[in-house]
Amino acid sequence: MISVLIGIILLASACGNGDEAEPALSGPSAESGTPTTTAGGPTDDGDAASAEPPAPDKPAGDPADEAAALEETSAAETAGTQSEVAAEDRPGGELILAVEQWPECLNPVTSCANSTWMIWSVATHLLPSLMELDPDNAYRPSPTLLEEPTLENGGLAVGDDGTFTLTYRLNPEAVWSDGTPFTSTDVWFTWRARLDTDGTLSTIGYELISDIDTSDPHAAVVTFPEPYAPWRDLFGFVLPAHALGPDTNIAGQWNDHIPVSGGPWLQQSWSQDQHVLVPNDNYWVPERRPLVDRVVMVPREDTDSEVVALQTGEVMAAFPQPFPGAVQRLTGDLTFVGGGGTYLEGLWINQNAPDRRFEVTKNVRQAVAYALDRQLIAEVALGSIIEDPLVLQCAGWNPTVGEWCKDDFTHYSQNLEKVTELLSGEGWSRPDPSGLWVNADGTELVLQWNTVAGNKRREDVQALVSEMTAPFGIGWEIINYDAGELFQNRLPVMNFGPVALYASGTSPDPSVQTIYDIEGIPTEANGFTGQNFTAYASQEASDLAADIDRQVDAEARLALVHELGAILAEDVPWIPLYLLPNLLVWNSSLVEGPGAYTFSVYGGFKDIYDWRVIG
Amino acid sequence: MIGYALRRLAITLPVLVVISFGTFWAAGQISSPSAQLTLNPRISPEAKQAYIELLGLDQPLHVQYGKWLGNFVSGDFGTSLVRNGQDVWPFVERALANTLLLVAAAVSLSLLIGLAVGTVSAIRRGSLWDYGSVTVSFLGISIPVFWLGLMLQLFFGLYLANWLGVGPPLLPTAGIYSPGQQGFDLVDRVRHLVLPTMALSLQLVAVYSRYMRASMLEVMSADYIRTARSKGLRESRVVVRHGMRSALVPVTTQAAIDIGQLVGGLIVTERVFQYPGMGLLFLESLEGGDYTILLPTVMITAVAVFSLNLVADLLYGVLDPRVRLGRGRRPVRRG
Repeated sequence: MISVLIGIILLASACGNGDEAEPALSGPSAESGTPTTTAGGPTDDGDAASAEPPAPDKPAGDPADEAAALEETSAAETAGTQSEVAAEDRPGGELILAVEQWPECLNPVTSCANSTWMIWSVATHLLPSLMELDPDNAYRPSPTLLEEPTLENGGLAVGDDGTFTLTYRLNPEAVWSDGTPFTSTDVWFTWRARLDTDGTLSTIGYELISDIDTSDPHAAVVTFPEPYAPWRDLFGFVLPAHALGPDTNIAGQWNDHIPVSGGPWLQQSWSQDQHVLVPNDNYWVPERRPLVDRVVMVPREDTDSEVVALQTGEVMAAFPQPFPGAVQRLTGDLTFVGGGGTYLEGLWINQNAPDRRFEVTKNVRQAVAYALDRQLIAEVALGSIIEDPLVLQCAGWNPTVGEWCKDDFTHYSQNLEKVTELLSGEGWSRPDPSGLWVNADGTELVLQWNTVAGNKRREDVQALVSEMTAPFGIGWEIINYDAGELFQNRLPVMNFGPVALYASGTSPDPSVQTIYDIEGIPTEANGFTGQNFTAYASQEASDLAADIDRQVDAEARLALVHELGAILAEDVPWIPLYLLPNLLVWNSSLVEGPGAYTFSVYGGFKDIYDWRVIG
Repeated sequence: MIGYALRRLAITLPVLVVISFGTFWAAGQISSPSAQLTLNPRISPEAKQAYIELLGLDQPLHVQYGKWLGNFVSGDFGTSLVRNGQDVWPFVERALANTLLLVAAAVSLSLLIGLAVGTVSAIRRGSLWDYGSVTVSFLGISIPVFWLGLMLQLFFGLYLANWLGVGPPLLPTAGIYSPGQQGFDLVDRVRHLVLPTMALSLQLVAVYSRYMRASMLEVMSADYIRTARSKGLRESRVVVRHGMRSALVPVTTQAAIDIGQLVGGLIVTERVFQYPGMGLLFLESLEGGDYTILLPTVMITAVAVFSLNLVADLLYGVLDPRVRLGRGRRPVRRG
């Protein structure tokens, strides 16, 4: 009877084969739900722009008809022309990659984009950007632009009335995979979609735009009411207006398929089981044309199974989270590169923690910093993954990008005299010289500390720090939560800590207003919408962070960043620990070419167009 | 029998309601349904209000629960805000089908092997085979699935292929289709079932063989077996026709209970083998804070456990005529 049941189920599953375009599942974002600084606060769309769309380059048809036509075009390309091109130009082969966190859905504007792997495995291969980052995370114009807007070439201009104009000169050769030209209307549409889509993930920067002039299809002229320095972060992907429009609320679209591409690849299918990319033969950048015929990405969410799959050759490369013992396990044909990274891990101190037993003042925060051996912490956390892990010496900037990060925190090393001076100065005493500090109310200096339960690296750090700070009279109460509880339920409403250990994503741009803006402290009054999770309320720092976003001149901006860095080192809103490294692993007997983008914000698979299947 | 089934249902339904309320409350504590509304402040007020009204988030807990239960019972599993408003049911349907397939394969294989091993052990009690099977059974029960899964992956995926000097792995170590597979392929699908089925079966074989051995030992010493032998029946006929049939009762009912528990309990196996079933779906919705998928996943598991427990009880009555379900009397032996 059971055999009959198996037969029935097999037949049933034949009707629901894995290659159907079904949505998939995943954890929240990279680093098991690590919050990034991308979610936007509330804005007033009505003030931001005219509701009238610009005249499109061609008459807008029925989106459904366009989509159908597009599918036909894509299918024809895949079936016919492509294979001929492949035979002539491409060495060919099939590249199989492991994806550690499978995206839940693909819409690049909504919460789907909160999954870092949605960006790494899907968006970065299909959706063109305006500015882009090179392998060292430095900005450069993408192939969609003829040049980078600068003050010298008139791409950036500040008017007498203070308005800031940004002119993107678009590459006339740029086209979408269906042959439709890439125009300023696409830039306009992306701006509006960012603002108008229900559940949009981030509106940062876009809500400041007052207008985008699309009268020239090859020049998008973006106007801000005042200078906006992090403009390079805008338009990290551009959407095809002809495929998604005319409605700029695209909440219900592209959940499980992105049919049009402006990148080197075209999405053949996406399901819960696999993601298949084929070369986009309409891609206009010869040096980025793929070398393989097909890329198949498959979910491998368990690190041990992922390593086994690499060893067996079932997958050729993976971009796993750094895991303890990587150096010992990744041997034989497995080659790996570790280092760099874009996530800053540290002790984030919530000054508004509901469970705090005393005010976590500047002196207390500094005392904690003086009780830590951060080099040792970094070695324990990352020593089995990479050599010489990078200790963070600034509270907000990636030390591997630009000159933003100065050595502001280097003076924080274990120093009992400093701890004693700081705490005694605020009325703390240490009745038992080997015990905990006690304040005037008799409350011991014990800080509740949260992190992600089951994250071995972080739990190791907790154990180490507990031992490390005991001689300094500082104790910890460790209460850990699963990632969803900590990052989705507690962090947004400031119900954690006072101390939490987690990593925060960084942008190569030095904008830090999101995390230091006083208005961004989540409160009941603002609907808990900000991301200043430390409740750091320094008006001086907040103003400086805002000034950094307004200063277009590079040198003046750098000076402001350094000024803010010094204030943060004095105030210690959080204690930076280490840069979380990236890890790219590949089977060198099967594939060659990986490694260039290991440290990239786009993830290690960014340049798969340059990878070659061997063996 | 029907009366018994109805009475059991009458008892089961309130228990299910209690479990569903507990699940509803607990899921709300772990993963707030309004978390996404907070995370996405740019959800339009209309959409936010519609979602709040849909789930009754502005209502007391029991009202929210009532709405959810009503929708769940009527087959409306709603949409997932975490998954950008996609329907929940296709996710659950697919996971359920995959898990049922895996469970059916593992239980049927385990029954086949477990019954055979247990029967031979009972017949050859005290033999080397008996001691050997007992040892292997205890090993099978003791080995954790996550470790066994990894070992199977390494052995069949790496070491065996290396020893035999063949290129690709003999068996795929994860997923339900080979990467790049387009369309349904029965052989490929079955090949991907082998390792998770083996990992799952080892424990089940161990349990079923122990049950079968004990049951056979009891049955084979019964009077009617002696009678059968004294009538001159062949030993094989005595064992298979008279012994195994009666001895099957506890194993079969145990298997029915196992199926119910396994429907939602394969978290480790599915995670290790990246098998997209109910366990993996539960884990991912828990990690992703997807309240709307978490609830039906848990509830379907609870319903499966209760239903198959009921089936097990009913089967008991069908397979063993001495049992008269619901009569409240001990079976009467007639000589």
